[in-house]
Amino acid sequence: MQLSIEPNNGIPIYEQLVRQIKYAVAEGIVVPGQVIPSVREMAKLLAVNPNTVQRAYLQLQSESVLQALRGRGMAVCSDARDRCVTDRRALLAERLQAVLAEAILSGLATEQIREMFELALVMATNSKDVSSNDSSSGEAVQ
Amino acid sequence: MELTTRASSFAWVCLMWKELQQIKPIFVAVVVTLLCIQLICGAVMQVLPSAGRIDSYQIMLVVSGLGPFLGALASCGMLFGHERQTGTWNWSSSLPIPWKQALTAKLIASLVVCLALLATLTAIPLFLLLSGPIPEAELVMPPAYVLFNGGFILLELFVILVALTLLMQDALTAMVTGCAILIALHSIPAVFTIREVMSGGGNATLYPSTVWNTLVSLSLLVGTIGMILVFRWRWGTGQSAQLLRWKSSLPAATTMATALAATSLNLTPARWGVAPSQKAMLWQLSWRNSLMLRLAIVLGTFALVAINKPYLPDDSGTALRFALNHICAATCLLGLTAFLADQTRERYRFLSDRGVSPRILMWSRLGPPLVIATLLLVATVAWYLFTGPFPGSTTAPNVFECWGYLLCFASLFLVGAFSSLSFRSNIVAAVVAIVTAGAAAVLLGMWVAIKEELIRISSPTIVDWFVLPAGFIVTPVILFTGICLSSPRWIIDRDAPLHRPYLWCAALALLLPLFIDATFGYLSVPKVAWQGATLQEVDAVVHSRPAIEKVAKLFGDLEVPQLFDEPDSADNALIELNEQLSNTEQLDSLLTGCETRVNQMLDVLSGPMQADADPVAFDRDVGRWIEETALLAKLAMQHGRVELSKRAWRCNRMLQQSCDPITWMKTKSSRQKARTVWTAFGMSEIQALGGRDFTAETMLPAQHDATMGDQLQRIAATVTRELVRGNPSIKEAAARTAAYRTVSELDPFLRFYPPLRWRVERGRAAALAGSLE
Amino acid sequence: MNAIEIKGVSKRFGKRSVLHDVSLNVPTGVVFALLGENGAGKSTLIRGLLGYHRFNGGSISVCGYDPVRQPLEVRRRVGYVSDAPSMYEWMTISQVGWYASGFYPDGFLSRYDQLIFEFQLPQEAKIRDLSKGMRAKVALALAMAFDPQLLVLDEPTSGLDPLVRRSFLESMIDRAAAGQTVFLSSHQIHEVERVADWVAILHQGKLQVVAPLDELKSSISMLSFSMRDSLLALPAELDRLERLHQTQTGRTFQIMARNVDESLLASLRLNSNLFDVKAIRPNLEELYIGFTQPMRETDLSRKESSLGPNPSESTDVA
Repeated sequence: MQLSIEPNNGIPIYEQLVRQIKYAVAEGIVVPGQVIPSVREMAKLLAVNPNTVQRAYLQLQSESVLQALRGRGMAVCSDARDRCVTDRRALLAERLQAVLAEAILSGLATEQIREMFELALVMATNSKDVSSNDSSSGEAVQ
Repeated sequence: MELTTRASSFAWVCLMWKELQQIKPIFVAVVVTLLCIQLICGAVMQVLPSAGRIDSYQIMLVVSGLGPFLGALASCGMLFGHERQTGTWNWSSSLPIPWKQALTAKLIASLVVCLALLATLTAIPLFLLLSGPIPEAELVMPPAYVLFNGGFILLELFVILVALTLLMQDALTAMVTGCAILIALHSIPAVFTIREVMSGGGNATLYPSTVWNTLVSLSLLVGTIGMILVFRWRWGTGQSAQLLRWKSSLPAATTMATALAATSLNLTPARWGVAPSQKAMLWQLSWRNSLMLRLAIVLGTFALVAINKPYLPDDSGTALRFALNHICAATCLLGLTAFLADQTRERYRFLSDRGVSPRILMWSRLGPPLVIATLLLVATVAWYLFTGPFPGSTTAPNVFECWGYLLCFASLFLVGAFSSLSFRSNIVAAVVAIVTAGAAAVLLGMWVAIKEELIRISSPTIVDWFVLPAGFIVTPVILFTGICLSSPRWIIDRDAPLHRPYLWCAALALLLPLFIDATFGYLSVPKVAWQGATLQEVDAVVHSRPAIEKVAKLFGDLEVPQLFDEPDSADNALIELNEQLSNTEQLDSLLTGCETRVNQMLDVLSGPMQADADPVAFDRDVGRWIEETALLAKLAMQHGRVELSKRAWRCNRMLQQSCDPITWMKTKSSRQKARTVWTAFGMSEIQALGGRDFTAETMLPAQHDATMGDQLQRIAATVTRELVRGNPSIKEAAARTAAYRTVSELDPFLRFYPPLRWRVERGRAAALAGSLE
Repeated sequence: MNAIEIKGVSKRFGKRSVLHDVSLNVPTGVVFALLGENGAGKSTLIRGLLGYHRFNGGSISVCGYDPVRQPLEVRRRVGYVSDAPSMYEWMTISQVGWYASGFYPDGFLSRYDQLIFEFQLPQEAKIRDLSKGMRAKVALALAMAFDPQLLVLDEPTSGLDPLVRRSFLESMIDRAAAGQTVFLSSHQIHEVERVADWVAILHQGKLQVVAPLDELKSSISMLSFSMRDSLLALPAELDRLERLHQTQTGRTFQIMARNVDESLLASLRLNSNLFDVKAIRPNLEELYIGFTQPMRETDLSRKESSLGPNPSESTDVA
């Protein structure tokens, strides 16, 4: 699991951690039932405050993405995948909306925006095909 | 968390281990150096005669006594000052160590060091005392109370130094101040006592004991309490508090940039608009370096000299020498301030980063203390010149003594400067400088004693005064070269082991002048033609000498009336003689016993000699026999025993003729008495003996004394010269004569070093020529 | 009980006042960061915590003990790493550990050796031969080996390479995860941002703010907008804000203020003179600058121009 934390980009650290773990679950990098590093280990790995990690884990636990296994730490819930995928979709939708809102506010016409959107979509699909052989999971984004 | 403290022994072990490890290097250095000095004393002791031997032994004892003081100095410096300066004090006090434990550990370590030094340094003297070379009776041992007092002074010194070291920032300044305080404290009663003695109080002890006891007890008490309080404060909340802020040295390299900038502002008068040169800046910075410490040294010296000046003899020559000795010590300290704290504060690196040439830096560092020392010297001399009855004074230092003093100042200054360059810690540098100066003094003293013994002149000649100091000009030159060679490495390489070049240079600087003096000293004595006797003459006199040692057994128990003690006038002597001769009964028995003995004596005197006789007793006996045979002759003659009288006179003559040079001189009074007895012989008595022929045969003419004396001197000179050259046949011959007794025990060693031998021979030739004139 | 309680302390060196009426409480089990410029008084405060000097006023309690009256108790519970730790140069790493172990309970030495092993330091090297980073690691090992309740670090990583800094961070995190308190003074704002729970900012001897970092970041916003006509006065709503810091570049303003709520943003967006109105969470560096740079009077007042053109006329210009 590749996690990287940017403490000064405006998003709280625990929030970044929550998102990245959800992404990892959605991508299938972490499979249901897999035990993730303990609070202490994760904090040392990322060089962040353990309370922050604890907060993130608690939030993930409350959203039923993680569950506590007695004596072994935190593990991914078996049904977490779908939830994470849904959350990720919601996040992406939010980001799309923000970009579109900015585009509208900058004065672009709807047609121009649609053109840019189609172009970007094509480019993204191509690059996904190129890297699809390397990718460990072939889960299509719905 | 479990907070039970460990068994406290473990904490003690750690603390003691740490303290002892810290002080180990300097302890080893001090022990080794002082032991070397003692060994040199011991070696020299074996070859000097008994008077010099005792002096060497005394020096050894002084070194033993000095050991604990150096130990106290070193302990205070390393365990207290060094720790604070390097910051380990702060770190150690951040551990949960109670201040009482920390202080006790340091005190115990200091005690151990002082006792160890004392024990190590008394080993050699004790061994010598027990194994016999030193007759105990002749030792001038100080009385027990002086030893106790020494111990108390040591304690006093220690507590005052520790308290000051902890109070002040710079350990060296603290130690100088502490020593100054102690000296001032003890000068007060001393001043009063000396004044008392001078004005006729006449008390032999140095201090009135009540004043002294009170003073020491008070200062010990105050010092100990002060030490404890200051330690506790510094261990706790007073860690970085800066009392007594001397603006003496610039703090850290980072502020030097500001200092340089500030200096440049000060030095650039606006109207000139020229930036100051690097040299000017460096000079200015160097002046501000340790300025307070230097001023303290100068003022302290002045104070010491001023306090003691009125209580010295009025003779300003002595007073000036006293002052100059103090200035020597001050010069060494001033030299120490030259490179002070540069290495610990890493100033040198700051400067070398800015491309300052090592030479310029070295000169800028040496300059200010040298100027101050010179000013001090000039001021003192001027003061004495204006207040003392120079130049008519007879004890004023002569030109050569002044020259010697100048060399002394230069050398001590450079020793101080070199040690402050080579040793990072101020304390170590100070101790090393003190020990080097002490070793130099001891070596020089030893050398002068050896030379006196070898050359055997009672006071050095003008030439000697010149040659020895001339040799010592090498010392400052070597030291200065050492500084020049070390300073580039010092400025560039932080970890360069500079103590090695120092040790080599110091050893060379001390030993090379002695070597030069030993090797080239002979050139200072003018070559004079050898006027000693030839070897044949020596043979004739020495080998034909009869065995008068055997005579000792013959006259051993005979009670012959003692002749007059002092032949002050011939008339009185005769009167006394006649009085003694009138006691007839005693004399009869005496004569009967004597006859056989006189015959035996004649036999012995005509026969071969014996080798092992006691020389000292021998001279005494010969004198006595000369007197007794003369008296016996007179007695015999009075009782009509003409033959006995003749034989007695013959004995007398043979005894006189068989004297060697020393015996000849020592029996002068006995021979005079014999001559007086002869004058008591009446004309008829002389006729009975044999008249003019007998007279000519028996009595040696008066002027024979002078020629005999000369001949004997020449023979003695030749014998000693051949002994020095290791001539084997002379050794045997010399054993028969007392001339061997005049040879120094050092002379056999001269065989191994020709230049010294040449010096001795030339000296003896000159002495012989002088005495024959 | 708080790990550290400081109430109203001041410190003067001669005439210079270094700390002025500083009060803060450090709860147990947190990583507490003290930020401030050089000369702000951080080291003075920390050294006073350990009883290295007395404060001129106020009271102080460390782990429940007064460092002036009971220094030994404090030192048994507090591990301290100063910014230039000077240990005995002639000792080796193992000797230093042995020496220190004499004054702490059992277990010190084994934990110390474990830490030295983790830090990959050679046990037989002498302290004088170590680099600056290795020395700092040794000092840290010594401070942590007795499992202290409170670890005090005074700019421990200044001048050290990233690997060593990472080691220090991990150690701090370890301690925090074990429930012990870490009190840290640092310049490395990025590190502090990752690892601190609480933050205090000291400026010229006075505490500007003491708060949990998250709270600070969430309550303070960086408000930015641009003006079309710079001669016009700023909107009146801005005056209601508790402003900490304000900068202006050309016609763009950046205001750091507390409690910027949505209604304010909305009203600002409605203002026709302003555009590109944004409110973002500031990072710690921006917060720090905001708290330590004083607001200048000229920033606050705009040019009072009653002769300014009518807002409705300015739209023609765009």
